Amino acid sequence: MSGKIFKEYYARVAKEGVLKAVFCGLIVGFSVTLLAATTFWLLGERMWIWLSLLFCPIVAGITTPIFYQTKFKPNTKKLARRIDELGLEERILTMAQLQGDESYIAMKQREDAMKAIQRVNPKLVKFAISVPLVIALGVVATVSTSVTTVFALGEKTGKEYIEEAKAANIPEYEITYEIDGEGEIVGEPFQIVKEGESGTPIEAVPAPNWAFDCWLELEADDEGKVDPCRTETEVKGHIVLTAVFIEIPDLPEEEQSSNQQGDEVDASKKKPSSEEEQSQPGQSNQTGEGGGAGGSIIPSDLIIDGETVYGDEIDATQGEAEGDLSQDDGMSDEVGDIIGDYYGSIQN
Amino acid sequence: MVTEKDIEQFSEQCKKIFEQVSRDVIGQKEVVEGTIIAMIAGGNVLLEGVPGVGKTRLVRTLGRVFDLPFSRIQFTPDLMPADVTGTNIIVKDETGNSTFSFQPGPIFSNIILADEINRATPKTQSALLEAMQEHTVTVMGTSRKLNEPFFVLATQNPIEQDGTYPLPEAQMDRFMFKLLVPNPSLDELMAIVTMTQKTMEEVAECVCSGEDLLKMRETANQIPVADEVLRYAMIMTSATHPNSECSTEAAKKYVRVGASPRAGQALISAAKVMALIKGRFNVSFSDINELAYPVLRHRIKLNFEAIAERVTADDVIGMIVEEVSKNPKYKK
Repeated sequence: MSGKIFKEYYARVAKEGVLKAVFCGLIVGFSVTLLAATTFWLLGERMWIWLSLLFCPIVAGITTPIFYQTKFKPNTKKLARRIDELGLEERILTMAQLQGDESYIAMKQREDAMKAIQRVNPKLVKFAISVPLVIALGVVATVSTSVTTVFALGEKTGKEYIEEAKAANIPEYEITYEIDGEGEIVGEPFQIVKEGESGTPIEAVPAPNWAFDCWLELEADDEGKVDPCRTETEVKGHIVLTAVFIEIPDLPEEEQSSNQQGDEVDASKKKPSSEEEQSQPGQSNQTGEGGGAGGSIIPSDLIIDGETVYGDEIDATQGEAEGDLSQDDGMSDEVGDIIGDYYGSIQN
Repeated sequence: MVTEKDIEQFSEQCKKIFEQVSRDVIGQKEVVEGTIIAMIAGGNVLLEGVPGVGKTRLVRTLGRVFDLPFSRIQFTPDLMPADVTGTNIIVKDETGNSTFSFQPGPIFSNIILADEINRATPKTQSALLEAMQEHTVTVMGTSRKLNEPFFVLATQNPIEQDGTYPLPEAQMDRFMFKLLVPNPSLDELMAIVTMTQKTMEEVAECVCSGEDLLKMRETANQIPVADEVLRYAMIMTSATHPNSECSTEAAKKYVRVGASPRAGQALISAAKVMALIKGRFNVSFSDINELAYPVLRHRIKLNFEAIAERVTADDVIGMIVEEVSKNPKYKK
C-alpha cells in the first residue's frame, strides 16, 4: 500500500490524525494550565498565575507529537478501514492482509481492490473527529481560562484564604485577673488571646495601707509569683489569677510616714531620729496618699511597738543566739551559716 | 491452487445454473440464490413455506440442473429409519445359501429431497443426522460412505402442526440454511400461471456435473477472509447467546439458546461463495450481515418473552445485526 493513490488517502487520514492529536494536546495543555494556576493561587504567587497560561502552548506542543505517534498516526489497517468505508466492502482491508501473498487468488483480489479504489475519490474521506473530543476540549479550555483569570484578578490568593481559615480555627483562651483585698489591676483585667500568643502586661497596684502580697494561683516557686507586674506568655489554656493584697497594720502617723518612704530610707540600719520622725510626716503629707503605691513593705522595716524596728530586734536576737552558742566550744562556720539563714528568712 | 480458469469456470457455471433454474422457478430469487450458495458451499437446506409455493419444484429443478442422482423421500409418521437408510435383506446366493445383503435406501443418492420432513417421527428424522453431517450411513454396524456431493434439501410446512414432529435442535443445526419460501408476488403469480398453462413439464437442463460442483466449492473455499471480517462473523454468532461475552441486548431479552459453532462455520463458508458469485475476491461485513438471517434463524431458540410478544427469530436477528454492525469495536 505504497502507491501514489494510497499516499493521497494517507495524507488525508494523517491530517485527521494530526488534528485529533492537537485536540488531545490542547486538552492536556489546558488541564496543566488549570493545575498550575490553582497551585500558584494556593501558594500565593500572583505573578505566576498569569504565567501559567504559557504552560498550555508549551505542554500542547510537547504532547501533540506524542499523541500522534502513539495513537493517531495511521497504519496500514487504519488506512485500509477508512478507505473501505467508502463502499469498497473490505477489499482494501483484505488486500492489506494479503500483502506478500503471490497466489493467484491474492493477485486477483489485489486487482479487484485496485479497480474498486479507482472508482472512489480520496476527497470523500471526511475528517471524523468525535463530538466528545470537541466537547471535552471546549469545556477544559473554558474552565481553565476562566479559572486562571479569576484567580489572577481575585482580591486574595488561596494562601491568604487558607491563612484566614486557619486563624479562624485557632482556639482562644481567657485570662482573668481578680483581686483579693484592696487594690486594682492596672491594664486589662480580662483578656482573650489565641493559643500560643501572649496577653497584654498588667500590674497589681495596692490601695493605700495595703501591700501586694502575691498571685494566688501560682506555685511558690513560680517566676513572678510576688512580682506585681506580669504578662502571660504562650497561653495554652484559660488562666485565672488573683492578686492578693494584704493590709498594713495601723501605725502612728509619723511612723506611717516613715514607712511610706520605704524605698528611700533604709530603716533597718538605723532608728529614725526624733527630728527625722518629726519631719517625715511633713514629707508624707507632701507625697500624699500615693506614697506606698507601687511597692511592697519589707517586713524587717516594720515597727512593732511604736518604737522598735522589727529588723533590729531580729538582728539583736540573732546576735544573742550566736553569742550563746559560741560561749563554750565555739561555733562552727556551718552552724553560723544556718543561724544566719534562719534569721534572714525571718527578716524577709 | 486456484487458477484463472477456475475463477472463470465458477462465474460461467453460476451464470448457467441461475439461468436454468429461472426457467422452471418463477421469482423466489433469494431462495434460489440461497439454495445454490448452500449447495456450492456443501451445506444442507431446510425450505419452509406453505404448500404450493414451489419448494419441491425448486429442489427437483436443482437436481436436474446439477445432473446428479436425485431421491425424493416423502416423510410420513409411519416412515421407518430403514426406509431412509436401507437395510440388510436375506438373499439366496448361487449355491442356495441364505446371506444378508445390504439394500441401499433412497439416501444413497446425491441430492435428497426430504419432503415434509417434520411429518416423520424423531426416530426416522434422526436417521438423517449422520448422513447430513458425516456423509456416511451406518447400518448393522457397517458404515457406508455416501456419494459426493451430497445434499439434503428438506421442506417443511409451518402452519400444519397436527401430526408433525418439530425437528430436534441437533438436526436443525445440521442445516446450513433455513430459507423461508414466501408467497409469490402478483407479477410472479401471473408468470407462474401463464407458464404452467402451457406445460407443467420442467424444462431446466443439466449444466453442471457433480465434479464441476466440487470444483466450484474448492474455488470458493480459496477466497480470502480478512481477520477483522472473520472476527466479525464469530462475534455475530456469539452475539446470539444471552450469556456470551459479546451478547447483545436483543439476545439477552429474547433468546434462550444461541447459535452453535456450526453457525460460524456456515457463515464463513457461505460468505465466501456469496462473495465469489458477486464477483468479489474477499468476504465483506455486508456478506456476513446478509447471511446472518438464513444461517442463524433456525439455530436460535427464543424464550417465552419473545413468543409472548410475537417476536420472530428474524426480528431478533435483525436487532442483533444492527447492534453488532453499529458497534465500531466489533469491526476492529
